[in-house]
Amino acid sequence: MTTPLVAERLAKRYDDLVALHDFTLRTKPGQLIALVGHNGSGKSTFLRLAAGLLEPTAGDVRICGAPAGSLEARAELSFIPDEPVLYDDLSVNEHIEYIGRLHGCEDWPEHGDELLDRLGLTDRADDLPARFSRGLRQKTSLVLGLMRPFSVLAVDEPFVGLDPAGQRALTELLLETAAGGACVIVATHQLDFLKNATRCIGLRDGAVAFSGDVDLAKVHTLLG
Amino acid sequence: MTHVPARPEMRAAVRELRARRRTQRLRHLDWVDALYRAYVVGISGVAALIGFAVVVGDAPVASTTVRAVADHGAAVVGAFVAFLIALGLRSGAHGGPLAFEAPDVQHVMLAPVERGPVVRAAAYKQLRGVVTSGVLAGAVLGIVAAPKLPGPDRPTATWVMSGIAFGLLAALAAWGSALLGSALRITQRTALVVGGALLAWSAIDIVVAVHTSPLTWTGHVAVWPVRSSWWALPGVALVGALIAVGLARAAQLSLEHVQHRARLVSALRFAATIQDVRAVITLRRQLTHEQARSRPWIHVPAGAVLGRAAWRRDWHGIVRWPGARLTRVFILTLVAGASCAAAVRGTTVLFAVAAIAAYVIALDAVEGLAQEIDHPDRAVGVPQSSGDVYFGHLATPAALQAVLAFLGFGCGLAVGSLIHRAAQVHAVSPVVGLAVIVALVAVAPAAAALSVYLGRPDRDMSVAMLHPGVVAAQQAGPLVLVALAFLPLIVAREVDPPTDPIRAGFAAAAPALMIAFGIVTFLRGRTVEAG
Repeated sequence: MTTPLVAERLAKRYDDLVALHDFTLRTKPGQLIALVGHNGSGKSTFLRLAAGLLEPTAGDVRICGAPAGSLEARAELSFIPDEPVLYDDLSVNEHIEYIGRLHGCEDWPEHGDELLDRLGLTDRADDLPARFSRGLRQKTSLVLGLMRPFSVLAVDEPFVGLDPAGQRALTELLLETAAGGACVIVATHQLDFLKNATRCIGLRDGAVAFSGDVDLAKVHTLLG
Repeated sequence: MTHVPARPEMRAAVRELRARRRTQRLRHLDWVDALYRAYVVGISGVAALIGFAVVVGDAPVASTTVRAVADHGAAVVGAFVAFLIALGLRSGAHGGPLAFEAPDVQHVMLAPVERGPVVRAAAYKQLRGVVTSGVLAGAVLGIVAAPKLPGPDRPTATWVMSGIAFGLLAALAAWGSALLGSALRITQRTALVVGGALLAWSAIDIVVAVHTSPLTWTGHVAVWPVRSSWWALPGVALVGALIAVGLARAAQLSLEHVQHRARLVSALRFAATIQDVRAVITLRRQLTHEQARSRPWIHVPAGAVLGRAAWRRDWHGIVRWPGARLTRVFILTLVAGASCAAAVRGTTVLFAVAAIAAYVIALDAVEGLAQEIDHPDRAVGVPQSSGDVYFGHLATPAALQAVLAFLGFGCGLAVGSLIHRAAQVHAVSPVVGLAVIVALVAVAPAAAALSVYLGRPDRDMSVAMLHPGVVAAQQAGPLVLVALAFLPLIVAREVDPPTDPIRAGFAAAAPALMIAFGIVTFLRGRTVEAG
């Protein structure tokens, strides 16, 4: 089976600022990986490099064997950013239809409805997300990221703005996604979530501080 | 392996989305507002055209000038195209000229669909605007040139056709070079080197009077009515090739740049729509990655422990200016000086160029004050009135303006002497330039500070809401005040004996000084309420 995501000596610099340095990672299908670290430690940079939104200064990321950002890689990786990015003039349902059709999902109406129901958005499906609260926009963004097919799910700070019910629903969805065989990578400050992860990677100043099984003592030491 | 949708399927999805959004936009369009905006743009355009025609005048130029246009015109115009291409390449190095919506980047560019058709669709849409602007600008130039360069074999229609062809070519060259630069992912350094080399090549053509640069060939299109040359054809072909290669490779653009631009361009457009100069400046800086240097060029020497906080803070900011801003300020200084030199020798419209250059410099120079005004709550925590804080922030811009004004003065003297050697045109005494320096040092920082203050985030918007012209006047006012600083040169040029031009020039500096005093007094009296 193809390795979902491989990063080899990945680095990203912005002039004299090192955002990520010598980052190497090999994932397996069904893994739920938690990325932890302080603000600016390189979590979002790594996820954006994997999505092809950033270009590495050095090293390489491959998604199911294809270079990050290539057509094949884009078909395999779903990226949910920390800040919801939505069209102002499309309703939630119209977003779902568009994303579904862009990704060639034939079951988008059913799959979309199911996700809306699980995240408590069914009643707002015909509303414009532009008029939503931060939490509802986040839920919409999650629906769009989860409804399309993928082998790797990269999620940046997904719990921000969600109510407790939304957080529970999202945790269940992420666990089901991993159980379904996808590799799920979640950058988070939500330490409660770590107990669900199968692997934890701690980042400090753009470099890996630790990587392996979830060890809350190490996490607490890293985060101070 | 995940399913990669077939191409027609994705094209249909993108096409349908666009159609649906267009329909929704039209359904929610306020037609009265749209017609009013079209009316304002139309009236402004006609006014600008008439003003331009009046300033340039329609008196035919001398036969020696016509000969000079025939001999050197193509190279000079080619240098202008080289300048446009250099700007285009710079924009391309930052991901321009295309700008996508942030959701398109997230949902379309990251979807497993070919980017080529998506990018090219955006490019064709933008190309329509580029072509329209080029044609209109070219037609205006043709209309203006026709009466100044008349002749039996040069009817107005020929000039207009030539102007349209050249305007189109120049606009396409600038846009195409940006597109190609973006597609080739050139760095800012490469853009600078290539742009500089093209400009240098054009400069050699002008000085040596040869036509070797491909951009000089494009210049032949502009001067076709004076001297037709088939060298224009390869020039046209070159621009065509630039566009074709740019469009063919457009999909190779950097998504990193695309995302960065997507975030900023919509905000920039909004800021431009509401005529918020300060927001436009800060967003444009972000768009061109114009960030403060992490290491200053020089260290500001340590001073007394207390006092002169604003003065030192502002110098700390200036010594961290990025290279691009320093270069811009330096070039604008030279442009202002050279424009003044040419303006006092007859081309009065160039005073406007000098004023704009000085105003743009001043807007950069008052950055420390602008940041204070951007965050009104900061002043609440300072044991001084906000007016005193604002006043303290005016000293550094004035000092910087003084240094730059002397540099511009030197440039003006050099250019003036060159013009004098070539054309023996009468000029005013250089002493009058000192009056301009004094006026400029006082009024330029004050006017820029006023502009920033009028656009402050906690301003009362109710007055501006009455009419868009109110906002336009607020933004144009400071520029007009800076233009007053150049009044001494105009007055000294126009006075007849026995009036002493030097004395008249210095007297003409008084309005600018009084206005600067008024603005500073006004700003010093400001207080910021907590809240």
